[in-house]
Amino acid sequence: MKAKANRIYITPRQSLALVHGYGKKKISEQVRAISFITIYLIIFQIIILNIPLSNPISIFIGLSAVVLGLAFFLEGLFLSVMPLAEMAGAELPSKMPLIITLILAFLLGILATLAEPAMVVLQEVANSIPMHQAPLLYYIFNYKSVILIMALGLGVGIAILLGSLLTLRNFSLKTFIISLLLLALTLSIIAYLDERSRPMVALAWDAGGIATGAVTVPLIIAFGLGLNRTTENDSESNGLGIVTLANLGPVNSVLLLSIIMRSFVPHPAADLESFLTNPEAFTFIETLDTMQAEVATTIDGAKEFSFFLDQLKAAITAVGPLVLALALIIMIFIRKRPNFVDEKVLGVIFTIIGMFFLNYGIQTGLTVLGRDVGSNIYSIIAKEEPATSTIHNFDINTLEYILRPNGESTPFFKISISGRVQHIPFEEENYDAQTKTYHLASTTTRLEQELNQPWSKMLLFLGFFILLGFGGVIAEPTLHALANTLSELTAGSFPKAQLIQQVALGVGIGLAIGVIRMMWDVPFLFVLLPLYIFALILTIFSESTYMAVAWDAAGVATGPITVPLVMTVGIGLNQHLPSEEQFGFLTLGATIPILILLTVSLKAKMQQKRLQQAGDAK
Amino acid sequence: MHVHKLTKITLIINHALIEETLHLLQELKSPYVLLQIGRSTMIPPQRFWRNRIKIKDEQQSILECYVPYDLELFYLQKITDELSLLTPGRGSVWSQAVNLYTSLYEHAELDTNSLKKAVIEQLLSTEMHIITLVSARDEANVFSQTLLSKGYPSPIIHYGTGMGTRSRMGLLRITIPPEKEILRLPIHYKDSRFVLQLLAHQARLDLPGKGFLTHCELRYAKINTKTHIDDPSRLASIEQIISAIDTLQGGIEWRRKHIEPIAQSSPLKENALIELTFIGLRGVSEAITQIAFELGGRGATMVRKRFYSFGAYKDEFSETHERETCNVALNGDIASKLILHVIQYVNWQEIGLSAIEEHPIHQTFA
Repeated sequence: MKAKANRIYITPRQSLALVHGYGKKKISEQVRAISFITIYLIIFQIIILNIPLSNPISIFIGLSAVVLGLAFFLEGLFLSVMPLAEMAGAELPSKMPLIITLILAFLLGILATLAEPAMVVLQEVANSIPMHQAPLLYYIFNYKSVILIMALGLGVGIAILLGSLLTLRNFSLKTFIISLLLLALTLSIIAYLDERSRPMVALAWDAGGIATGAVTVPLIIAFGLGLNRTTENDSESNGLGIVTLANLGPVNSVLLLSIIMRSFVPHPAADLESFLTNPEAFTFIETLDTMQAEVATTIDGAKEFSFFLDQLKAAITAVGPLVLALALIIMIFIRKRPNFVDEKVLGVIFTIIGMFFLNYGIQTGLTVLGRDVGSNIYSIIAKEEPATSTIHNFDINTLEYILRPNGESTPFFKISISGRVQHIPFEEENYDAQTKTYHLASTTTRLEQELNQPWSKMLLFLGFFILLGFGGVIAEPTLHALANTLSELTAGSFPKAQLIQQVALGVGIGLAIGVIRMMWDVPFLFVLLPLYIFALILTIFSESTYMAVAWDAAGVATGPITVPLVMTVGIGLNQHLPSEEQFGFLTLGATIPILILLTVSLKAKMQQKRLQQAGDAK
Repeated sequence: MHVHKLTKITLIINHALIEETLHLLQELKSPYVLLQIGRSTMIPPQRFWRNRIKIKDEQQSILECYVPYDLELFYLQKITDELSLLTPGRGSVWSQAVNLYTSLYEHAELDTNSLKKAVIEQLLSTEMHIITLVSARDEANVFSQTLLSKGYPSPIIHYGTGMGTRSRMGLLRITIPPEKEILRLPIHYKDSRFVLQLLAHQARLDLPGKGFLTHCELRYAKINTKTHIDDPSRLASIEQIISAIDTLQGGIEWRRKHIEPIAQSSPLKENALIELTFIGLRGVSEAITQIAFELGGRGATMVRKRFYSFGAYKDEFSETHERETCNVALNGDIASKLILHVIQYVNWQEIGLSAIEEHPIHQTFA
């Protein structure tokens, strides 16, 4: 029997009061969340860079849209996407055989990636790299983008399948993470050793973070939590960690793809002329001419729609298929009506509205602010081009010659600058024979110039990135979703604010490291390897739940706010710091939170050990 | 359907000790164990830059198992000994009398020869109450801080979901957060009046919808005395000293003298109720609350738990370990009607219901 409870009558005035209070609370939370990054960027631009805001009204509207978007999006996630995913995770294992659960988890992973709109960001960066410098990147992005997306989808799908299996069977998450990470690092080294696949290494790591976006991450977290509820013993990770696997899966699949596909492209060259001298390049370009660019259909296809419709379409594409898939799983395989169906439908509408406002607001508000600051941030440390000093009465007879291995001899002369004798190659175009003057170009390298900067400027420059990462991440809705889940899982013993602050600080420091890497043009792998080896060592010794949280938080930190904001600033910076590898900025941003949280987890583990010893010593 | 007169043993254990706790309950062949996660709060060492007490949370596991009366002290002895509950910081345990309505409950025979009844009774406190406050999410730490600053033990806090008026509001329900925090504090009955008054005042129970405060009697209890994070410079923590005195005095009554004068001026009112806990699968709370509201109930709290059965018999839903409990507090007549109705007219299998727990409580209001 199912008795129908009496519905309470609420007057319109009371309804209005309730909705007003509710809306005010939700919006004020988001105003607080984005106020730091907004005020910070505005102050930085106006006071430090001394540049007026380009279009204050449009930026204000954009920022208001971000606030509304975050409020609707998060509420929608908590009302519908997360409870539905949790229900699917909790009910599937008891209703279906293991194999069906795993297949559905796999398909959910693929679908989640296909619906992910953030992949367009990678395209934007890839477009800024000329073909001759990274032919494989150019080839994959412009002609084989479907294969790339499939590789990402497979990576995420297999990772979610493995994650579900380890949660249900209580296998060690640590072993899975360490194995996948070692595989990714090995593949990175293999890909790095060949100059054709080298530019793909940083891309693969960034793609891992981007493939799991705003809707996918909460869905995976809730699905894992649901799976964990059904198991006999708490899986050692409490159902967390699947996001990490979903990040590492695409890293491996894209690296594998680059290793397989590098045989189809010629070797890169520093300039187009030398690239074209390679006969392989010629054949390659001829092959490209016969192929139809795929990207035109995937990226530019929506040009005919207005901007608003475009954003709405993106929001529906990101949310619709996933929710539909969840609903189908619940209806066909679980055959159980979720509680409060009206609430779930409203939640889906909120999620779509939220996603729409969020995308619109980020593009017209936050990204514009980021772009203005990003394209000018380098001016803090950029030294004005040193005036070429002129040597008068230059005596050409003082030239000396140095013999090169190929038998040629190069002229040079000695000069004393700041008490140091330097050997300067003689260049004829700098010599004016009539006036007997020689125009001396700057003798210092770029690295020396940067190192010679006053520390205050350098600190301000790096500090900008630390606070940029911090501000972006504290507003990140996916991180809030993870923090909420964790709070639910531990009954509040893991404070939400603490997690968000630690991750935000970590991302900030990681971005600063990324900038230093770009300034000194250190190969991405040389920075990544030591950081990840350190993270691996910490992982081995850390407590399982904290470990899963640390790795998940890293994947979650690069969400819908951080990715476009950081990438916009990164692209602006790229114009001044022409690093060979322009990807990898996001990955480095996501690495430091892992180290911070794992270090905290070691402390927790030591406390637990002390407690256990206290009992043993009775 | 049978009614089993049992004792419910509630064990609050530091989360780091969960594996050995489950192992112990497995050894004891407990047929009905429910597990949920909670937290306790403690006062960290004072720092010169921090002039206010700031509490720190620690994850705990809350385990409940149903035990026949003849095994109660044996269980309590085993738990206290094997899990070293005399060491501060490891956990608390208490037992209370309940009725359990279920089609299947049978405890395996245990060899209780090792039971030292006099010793365990000396170690355990009697005349204890358990105070429960259901409040809005994120409010419990304020109450916890007040209790700790007044020298009371650390309460256990866990999450729940409110299923009362909210679910009868249509879509407008989303404007009212359903998330609740449930604070539980075991305390000597002579102190309970003061603590109830303190909590009622701080939770503003004089205003409607601000919380639900109850207490009920316990049979035995061994409470965790740890309230401060250790200062390593001391040879023994204050909690170790208190715990030693508790053991010597055979209870915690010796501590009450400081607060009795305030407790005498309590203006609180009480209402005798019956608390029913419906245990079943996901979704059982919605089905039960609808029936309870029809019969005159006003509110319910849903909590998600994990179920274990270490005895010979599993319950009807052994394919999953996820359970949902729905707590409703009703006056005696309505509670009897509800039990009767659920037993006679409801298909338990269909709504996923496996057991109903019943015990008396006292609601306190300002």
